[in-house]
Amino acid sequence: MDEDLLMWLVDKGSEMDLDFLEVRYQRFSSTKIEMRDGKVFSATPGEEEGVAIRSLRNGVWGFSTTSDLDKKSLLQALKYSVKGAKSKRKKREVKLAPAPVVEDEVRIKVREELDEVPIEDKISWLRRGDEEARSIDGVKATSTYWDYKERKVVVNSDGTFLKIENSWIFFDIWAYATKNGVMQSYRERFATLGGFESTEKIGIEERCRKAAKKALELTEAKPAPGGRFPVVIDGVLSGLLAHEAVGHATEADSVLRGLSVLKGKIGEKIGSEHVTLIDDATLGEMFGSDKYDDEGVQSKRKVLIKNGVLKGYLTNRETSGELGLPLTGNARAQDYRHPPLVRMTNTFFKPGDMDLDELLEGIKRGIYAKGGRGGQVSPAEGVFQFGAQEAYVIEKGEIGERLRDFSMSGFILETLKKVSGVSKDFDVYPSFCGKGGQWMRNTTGGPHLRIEEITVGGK
Amino acid sequence: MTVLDFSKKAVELAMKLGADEVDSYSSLSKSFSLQGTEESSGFSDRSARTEISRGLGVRVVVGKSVSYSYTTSLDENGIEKVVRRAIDLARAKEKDPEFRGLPEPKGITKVEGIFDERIEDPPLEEGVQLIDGVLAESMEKGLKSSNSFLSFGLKEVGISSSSGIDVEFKESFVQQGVYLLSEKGGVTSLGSSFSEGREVQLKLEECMEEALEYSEAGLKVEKINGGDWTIVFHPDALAPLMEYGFSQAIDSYNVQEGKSYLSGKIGERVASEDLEITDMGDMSSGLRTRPVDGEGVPTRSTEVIKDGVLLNYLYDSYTSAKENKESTGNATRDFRSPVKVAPTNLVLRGEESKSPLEEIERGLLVKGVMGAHSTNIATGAFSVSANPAYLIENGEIKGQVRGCMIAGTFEELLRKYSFQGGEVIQRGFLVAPLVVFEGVKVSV
Repeated sequence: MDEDLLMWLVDKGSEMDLDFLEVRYQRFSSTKIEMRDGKVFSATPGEEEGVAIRSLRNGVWGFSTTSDLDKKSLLQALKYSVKGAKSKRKKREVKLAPAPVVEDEVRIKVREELDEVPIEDKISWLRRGDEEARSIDGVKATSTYWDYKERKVVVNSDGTFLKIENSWIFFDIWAYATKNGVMQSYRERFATLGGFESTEKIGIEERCRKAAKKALELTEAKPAPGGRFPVVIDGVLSGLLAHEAVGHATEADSVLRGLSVLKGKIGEKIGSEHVTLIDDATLGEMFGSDKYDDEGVQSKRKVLIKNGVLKGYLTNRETSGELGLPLTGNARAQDYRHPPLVRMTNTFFKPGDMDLDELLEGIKRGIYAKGGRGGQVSPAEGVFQFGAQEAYVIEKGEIGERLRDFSMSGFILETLKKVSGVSKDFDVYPSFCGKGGQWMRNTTGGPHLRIEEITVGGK
Repeated sequence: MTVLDFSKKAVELAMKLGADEVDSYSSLSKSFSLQGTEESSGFSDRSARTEISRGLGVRVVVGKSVSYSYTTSLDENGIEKVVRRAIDLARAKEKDPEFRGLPEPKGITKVEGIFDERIEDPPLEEGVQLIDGVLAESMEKGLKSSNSFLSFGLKEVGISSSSGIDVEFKESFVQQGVYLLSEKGGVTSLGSSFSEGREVQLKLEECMEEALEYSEAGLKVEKINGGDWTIVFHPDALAPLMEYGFSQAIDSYNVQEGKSYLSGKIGERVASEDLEITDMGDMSSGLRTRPVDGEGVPTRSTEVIKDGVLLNYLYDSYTSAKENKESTGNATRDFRSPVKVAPTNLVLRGEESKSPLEEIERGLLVKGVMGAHSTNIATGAFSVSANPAYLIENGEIKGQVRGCMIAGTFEELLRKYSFQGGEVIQRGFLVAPLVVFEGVKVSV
């Protein structure tokens, strides 16, 4: 679409007696390929385009989005947004945190543009992994390749005019293995910002072979026991803990709504001295990175917890202004259909100086768990859950028998205090996080972590 | 132009450009939503949201090779581009020898209650007042935080195919809910209540009443021991568990590929003999009721489990053709996505009790679960946090139980089904009242 129309919309809005107006345009092309046991189940290239308009008047937000981009439809969308902001509702004073006016053009460096690579090449690449996984006896596989290239323009009534071009690829395989009548599955995943050249760094054959072998090994595992145990978790799982158990509760929109157990706790010791939590959107091609957030605020590195002490929250312009806390650039929207919410980017626990052996030492009977199967949190109550892909019994400090179907659940404030050791290694895991009906790309990560006691679900 | 006209245009163009077969799915969605929050220390917010989204997806067949593409640009250029891209891709892709052709027209199923005309002019002002009422009442009652929302949605769908399918229909959706947090003596308790339906009916007051009951019940904390428990699942908790633990297992794609624990078990007893599960695509007022499925095949009812015996899986035209069967009308699709199989309205039936809680001597009422998506979809193994969960003794809710986990496999759970009762509601595809299972493993 003609991007001058965006300025035209902001100008139109300036005549409508608003406190703030933001117009966000986005166009993206995307290809998703799903392969099931060597067969291309679907290959779907698509294109989408739309505009989001957010307006604020007397503390009431109006938001509208449309994929109809002619002048008349855009004007209608502006009217819907303004009508929402001006509806007869409880007024309040909202002070958006001042943000530097930005005029910038950000373009990701790409060697092979995703929309210029023939889809056959993408299919062949995916097939390499599929064949590798299925070369192991008794293994089946479902794998997905997904790429996304976007152009985004953010214009607001403060004068910000920001153009962003970005692209990413995502890969995922589920290997299913059956042995002696027992079926198990294992997932490997990789995602990064970049063009098609990034597929080279994935090491697809190796990852798919690993998934197949792990699935096969799991057929000989016993179901995990239930109860309270000391656990040691790997970097992928500690990343999930960083994200689910702690990260969500530091999102200032939840804090303001009274829906976070971390409300009012800045400066308090909420975890052991081993716990240092960081959210950092400036990490190059890492899946949660962005130079600017969707309000046009430059992103940065934030230490949220330092040696157990809560240092701050993740904010957008509204929550930063409301709480009088630094603006962190964490306003993110899935796409033009959604308003930005306060979201994490790349979130991780900082490594320490121990070895895995030292973490295991002294555990009489516990569980060692690896690899993420997803998790969930209720920040208001401070309860979280997450699942692991594989687990082992720890007996007298040694890793023993293999377990399956392991997941654990705990209370944020209790669990952080029970972290009694952190290793020096570090692992990361890219994923999509869901909140308020929106999915955002992000990375979680961390070192190995020992938790003195937590509830494990099982037999 | 109507949405069907866009689909017809894409079909016509694809045939002209050399496709052997084609179908197209177009939709127009409009929604209006309202939201409000009040927090006890003074924070409040209000917002309104409008969404208009239009798009078209095509599925093109060239010499037994099938491909898809989609766009939101519905002018001549946009449609031509999407059709050409799909044809080029179909030509480049390998053939699928198992593809037997797109479905033939078989009419439509007459369904009721999926479109309420009042959705064209939704009662937004009344909605604003109701939300404000809920929030004000929450603050008067001294709650810590209160959130309420209301959303009206309208969707028009047009499906056209080269085999002669031309269907268009309208749907309405109304979603509303209340989410409360109360605190007393250091104990926080969450109470929520949601309603989702086809009819334009404002139910926020009823939602408020139910949410208050739960938030009050949770202010007392009870401790329990781990072990085998009688569990009463609220549909809020059972729906996500079934989504990952059961609906994937009856998806004919997973079954045919041997990726389901129910593969090869037709005719076998897989559940308690009291349990009956039917997929009712033609159910009156169902949230997933439509006259046809995503590829234009008339919807119907399919008995999945009867008297505890597995009778059918769910099919689309592709998987059914592989077994020389008819499609069960379970193709799901939007303009962005390819055709997949999914349940429509999965209705649970069994031994009924008017007030199931009263029959529980000692058990847990589980209103929500966390981590259902970590379920192993191939084996149905789950290990989730039960939250919120309440202890029931002699038919009464005693208080909230915090931090307990429920684990097992869905295969075991189906056999542990006992009875059900109370108000039937729909969550996602699940249509059920409170459902009771015996001997479920709980860890604390």
